[in-house]
Amino acid sequence: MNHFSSSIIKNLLLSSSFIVAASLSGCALISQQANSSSAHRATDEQPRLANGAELLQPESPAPDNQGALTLFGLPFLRLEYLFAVSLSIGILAFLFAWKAWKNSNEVAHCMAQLSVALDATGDRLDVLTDKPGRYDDEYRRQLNELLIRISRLEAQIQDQRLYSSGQTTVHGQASSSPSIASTPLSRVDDLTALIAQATPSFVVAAPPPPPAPDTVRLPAPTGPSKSTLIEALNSGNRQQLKAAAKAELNITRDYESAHFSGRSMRAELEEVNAGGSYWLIEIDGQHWLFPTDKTLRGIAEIGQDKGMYILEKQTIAQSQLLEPALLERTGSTWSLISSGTVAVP
Amino acid sequence: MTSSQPQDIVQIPWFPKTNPPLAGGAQAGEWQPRDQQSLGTIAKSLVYEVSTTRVNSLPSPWSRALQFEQAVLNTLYPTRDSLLEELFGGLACIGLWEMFGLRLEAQRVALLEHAELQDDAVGPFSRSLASALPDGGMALSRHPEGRNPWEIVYVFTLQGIVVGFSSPSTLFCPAVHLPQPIQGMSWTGNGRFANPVDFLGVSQRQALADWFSHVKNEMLRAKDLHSQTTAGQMAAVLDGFIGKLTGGRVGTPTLSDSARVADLPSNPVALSLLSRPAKGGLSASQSTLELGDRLKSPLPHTPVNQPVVLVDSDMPNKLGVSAADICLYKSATLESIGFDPQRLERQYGNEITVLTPNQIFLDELYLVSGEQALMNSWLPARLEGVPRVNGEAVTPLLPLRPEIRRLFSSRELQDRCELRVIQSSISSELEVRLTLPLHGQRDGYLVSRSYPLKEQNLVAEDLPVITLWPYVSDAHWSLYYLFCEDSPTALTVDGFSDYDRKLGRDGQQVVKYFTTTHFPDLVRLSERGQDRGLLPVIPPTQAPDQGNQWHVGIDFGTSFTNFFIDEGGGPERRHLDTRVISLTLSQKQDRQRLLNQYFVPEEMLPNAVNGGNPPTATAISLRGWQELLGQVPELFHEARLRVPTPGEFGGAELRTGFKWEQMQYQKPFLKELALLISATAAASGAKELQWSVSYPSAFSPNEVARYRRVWDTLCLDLNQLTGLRHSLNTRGSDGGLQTEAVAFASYFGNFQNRQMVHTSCLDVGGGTTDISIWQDNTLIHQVSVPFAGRDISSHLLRRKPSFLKSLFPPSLTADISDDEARARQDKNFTSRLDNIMRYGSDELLAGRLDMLVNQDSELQLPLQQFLSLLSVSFGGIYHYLGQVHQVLRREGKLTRTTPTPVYLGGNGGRLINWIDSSSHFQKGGDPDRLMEMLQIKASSCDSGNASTTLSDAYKDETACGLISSGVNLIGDFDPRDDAMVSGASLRVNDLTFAAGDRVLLPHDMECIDRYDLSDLDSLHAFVDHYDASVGELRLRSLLPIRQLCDLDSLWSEVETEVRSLCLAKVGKEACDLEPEPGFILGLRALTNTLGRLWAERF
Repeated sequence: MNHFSSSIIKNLLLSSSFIVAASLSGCALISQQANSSSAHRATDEQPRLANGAELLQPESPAPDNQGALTLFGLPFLRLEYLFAVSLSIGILAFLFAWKAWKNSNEVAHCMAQLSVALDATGDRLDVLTDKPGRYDDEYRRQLNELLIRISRLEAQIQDQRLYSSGQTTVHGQASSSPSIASTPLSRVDDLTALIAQATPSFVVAAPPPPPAPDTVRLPAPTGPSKSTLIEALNSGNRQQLKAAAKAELNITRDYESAHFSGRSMRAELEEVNAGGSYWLIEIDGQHWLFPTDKTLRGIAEIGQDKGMYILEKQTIAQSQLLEPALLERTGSTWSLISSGTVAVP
Repeated sequence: MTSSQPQDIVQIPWFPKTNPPLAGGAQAGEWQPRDQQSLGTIAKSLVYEVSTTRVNSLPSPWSRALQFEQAVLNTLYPTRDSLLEELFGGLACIGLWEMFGLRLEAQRVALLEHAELQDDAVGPFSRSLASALPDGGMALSRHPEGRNPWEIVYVFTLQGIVVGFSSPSTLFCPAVHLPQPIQGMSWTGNGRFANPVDFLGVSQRQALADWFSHVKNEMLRAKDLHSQTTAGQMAAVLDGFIGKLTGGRVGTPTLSDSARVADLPSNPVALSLLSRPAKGGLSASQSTLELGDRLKSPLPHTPVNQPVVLVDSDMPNKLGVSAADICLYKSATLESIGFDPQRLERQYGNEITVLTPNQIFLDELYLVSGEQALMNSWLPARLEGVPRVNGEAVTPLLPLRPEIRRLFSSRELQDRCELRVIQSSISSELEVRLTLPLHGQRDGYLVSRSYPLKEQNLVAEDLPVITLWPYVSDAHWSLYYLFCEDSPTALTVDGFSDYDRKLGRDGQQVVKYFTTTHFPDLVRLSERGQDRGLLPVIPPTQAPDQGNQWHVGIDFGTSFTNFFIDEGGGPERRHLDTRVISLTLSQKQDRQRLLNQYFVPEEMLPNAVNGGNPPTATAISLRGWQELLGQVPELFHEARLRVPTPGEFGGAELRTGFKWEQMQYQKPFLKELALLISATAAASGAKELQWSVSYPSAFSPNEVARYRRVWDTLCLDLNQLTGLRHSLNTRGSDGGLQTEAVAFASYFGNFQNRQMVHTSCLDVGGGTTDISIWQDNTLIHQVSVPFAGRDISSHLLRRKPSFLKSLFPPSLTADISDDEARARQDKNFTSRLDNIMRYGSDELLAGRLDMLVNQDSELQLPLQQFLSLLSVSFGGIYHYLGQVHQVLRREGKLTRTTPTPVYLGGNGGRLINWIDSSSHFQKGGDPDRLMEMLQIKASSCDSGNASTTLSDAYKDETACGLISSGVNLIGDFDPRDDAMVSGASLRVNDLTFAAGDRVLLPHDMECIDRYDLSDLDSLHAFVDHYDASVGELRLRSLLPIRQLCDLDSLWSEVETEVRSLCLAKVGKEACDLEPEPGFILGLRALTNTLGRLWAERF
């Protein structure tokens, strides 16, 4: 922990020294043009803190014989200053390019979302790695949720990129800087790798390969498959179902009454804004009824369902959805076409 | 410029000598004005010489005191204004220290005593001071012993800071420098005393002016007054202070009652006046909360006798007055406490409760998914705008600290709380505004806080199930339950210190039950043990206080329990409203499951549209409780009423049939039922409930005693739990209990106003048939026999579950196993079947039964035989009725020689519809005539009209009859005096009873060693009568018994069955023996045998 703290402080100081150095070098650069001797003095001094303590210097870019380089006509410019200048210029270029890019299409919005997601993921990953063994399940869930979000955002970005590249081709505008587009994605890749190391049980779908630059046709968005969603439900991944769901459903009052009193009636469900016990998920034009994980657990607990699923006794620890029920729209409600199957302990 | 006595300044050369020497003034310290030229003269005449032998210049330690003296006495003193301002500030501290909650102390310094010390510091310094003592001539008071008043001074410390010392001539000499400001006394802020006026509130100014006035008057009146001049000048100075404070207005001074400066002597008077500070007038507090509901109905930690004082640093801005003018409590102002609530707490902590905005608002706002995620809460209605996180609507929890509950009710917060979404270009915030009611503030005092809508504060998990019961105003109720899911990581309910918590656990599922004696209008939510906010509940409306009494009739049945209510307009069946409310829009199915399994369901099934509830299934759920054998489980966390339905019946957690066995479940079941009824009564404004309770006389003496005890304790419990008065109706019954037989008869006699002149009543329930026989409105016999619906049909169907499944649709019988062995093992089979019957009988009797009987199929024959077996069972009951009639006639109690008309009802009674070919029992129909004939044959009476009238309100009769009045039904309703008629030869231990005898067991009989039927003659007679009747009546739809079995082999099997049934009674304590007529025991054996044979045939 002490090592960790000291490294943080060291890093902070290092980054501070860079900022100071960058600022000073900027000043020096300007003043050099007017007065090279003043630039000489400025670069010849060790940067100091207000209380006189000497700042820690970056390890690699600063050689012992500072001031020996001659670049752009600046005889005593130190390597870190050059590095900082290039960094500053890079940041400025990044910002300008970002702004231009943002104005040109909506990819930037997705990037921003991704960036936020990455930041959040990074933070939580820190916590996870910092406290191994604590809240494992919870963090795994959260990571999983975030991964799903990232995957979705990646897909959006990919779509948007395709769309924008098509626009770019059509309008003949300059495409955005590759470094801007690749930076967040590379963070995704890194993060994915990190998460894969931290939680080997997760399988993260790799982002699709970038399309050919001359591609203008937009591929139809493909959602998760039925088996993927069944697996997600059975592994407790609520968010993936939530993300895929078209609506939340509850059984209608009429059907509920019939069910309780044992009257035969085709199961009917209605869409609700909240508090739904089922997800309506459309896959390839068919509407499937998935129970929520709570509903699935409830079926196991009482050993009965509301007439939408056939229960199969199996030697398992907790109930599992084997097949969702199939629905069709009838007016304002959804009716059962074929029952699903749930395996119960 | 001091000296102990008038001397030439040259002789005491503390100042540079002059050449020529200049004479000093006549009086040391006396200011003599000179013109500028004189100063020049002095300057020119100064002799600067280096002295190596003695100090020739030393500032007098008394100079400060003498300057103040001069400032008071000499209006021309050049620094007078400045000095008097310091004196003003210093005296303000002396006068107001108590009002500011500070501590003033005085330390006596006797210079001459210290002067004798031979140390290196104190002694020399004291000697130096003593040697330069000012002249006491201008002192306000004479020293009591005539000594120089300057010899003894008192050093004052305020909060440990030296603020000055006593001055014989000016009362007080302020310190020249204050090392730090005095808390709350902002006029001490710059290292010196300043004019305090601008820093004092109106009341404080007045209090100080009054104190000055008091000091002045007492000083002038002092007996030890010394210098009139000084006193007069000092009085003028004090008047000047008063003028600055109040413009000269003075009132009656109020001095502190308790606070005194210790160590200050009572003489001299001028000094003693400093010992007692101002108390200040009792100004109305401007920041005391005006509590309302919580004062009327205090919570355990509500500060009932302490004002709650709000301390908010924004008060001056919000109220538009200075901090000094904001009176917090007594004399404390916001200024005087230095805006520090802790100082007010220290000062008046034992008198008041201090509240700050930080103690009102949580640090963070927490959110739950969905726009209307909370139910029965006013929070969404007070929310302006839709808060969103990542574009999705969320619902905020009320970000108030839990402690706020002790001050305000949800109703009050509803009026005073507003939540508003504020959108900016970069973020969304939620502003929470709370208008606090302050005394004297008509519009209240607004405190608010803005919270950014943070994604990390969104509770990611599904909303938990949180419900409350009962939804009744606490003006009419005493104990409330909060039920919720428990999770170590998810959102859940956390209790308050006055809550009691119980847990239920079943596998992974953990639920919590909180109980509280106050309506839980503010529910505390937490996650991982951290407060997440409050969930405010819309309080229930308070029913008008009608003060009326409810009469409730409870028929505790084997399969179903029924109740009728008379609110004053006569008995009526009323759907049971559970009055449970959900507080979160959790997943509906999960909520239903949890409530049905662990708590009170939102809706009793069948609902009002589908026939309503009652009757309520006599069933409880033990889910979440590890059952301990014989232990009475507690409500709700261990056991609760369960409403099984054919669609969702229940599993191993379900308990039924506890009317007759496992009686430890009676209490929680009846308690919940009574509480549910009471909650409805309370919500309707009732004040008192009188319970009329029935029981079957087939109960053993111990069972009766136990059941009575259950109700006695239940009434006591209910009195405590509900806040209503509960009592058992003891009118016309024994110890508050009425036999089911009499209650049933009362339904026909009283409620339906039928004649009870020559009448028999048969209440065929689930477990017993309660028989009563009436003549001229007088009860002449009653008996409860353990032969009813379960014996008539359930045991038959249990033997052949596949047959049951062929009668009813699969939706009703889905969880009935085809496996006969499993069905036999199912302890809840009978209850399961009762439910199927309840929901499926109507449809069956509406045409399906008729079709099945008449349709040529595999089912036809078994069904026909099944119906015939039902008929045999009913025939047995009527046959026994005839036997009883015969005995009563013999005893002279029944005078008429014709059979009695019969009123038939009860849940099992409806089965008689099955054996009518029209599927609807009709007077004059085959079954009616068959039963009439059996009665006649069994009683050997004359022929006559003895039709059966079937009740139109199955199962309602007893409950309704319990609270019905009308015809004056009389008789000895105590069944203990009315022994049963045996109906068959019976041997109990060494006692033998003939068929026509009454079975009266001696009280001293202890154990049942022998119990058997001597012969089966009565059963033979019954079979003969039955078959003869079927033949005589030429019934085709019902088969005679001989066609249902092989009569030759039947009797041996019946004998075996009889023996088996009798053995079940042997070994029991006599007081535990449920009385059973010999004939009924034989009938059970006969029907069991016939049923077994029937099941084996198909």
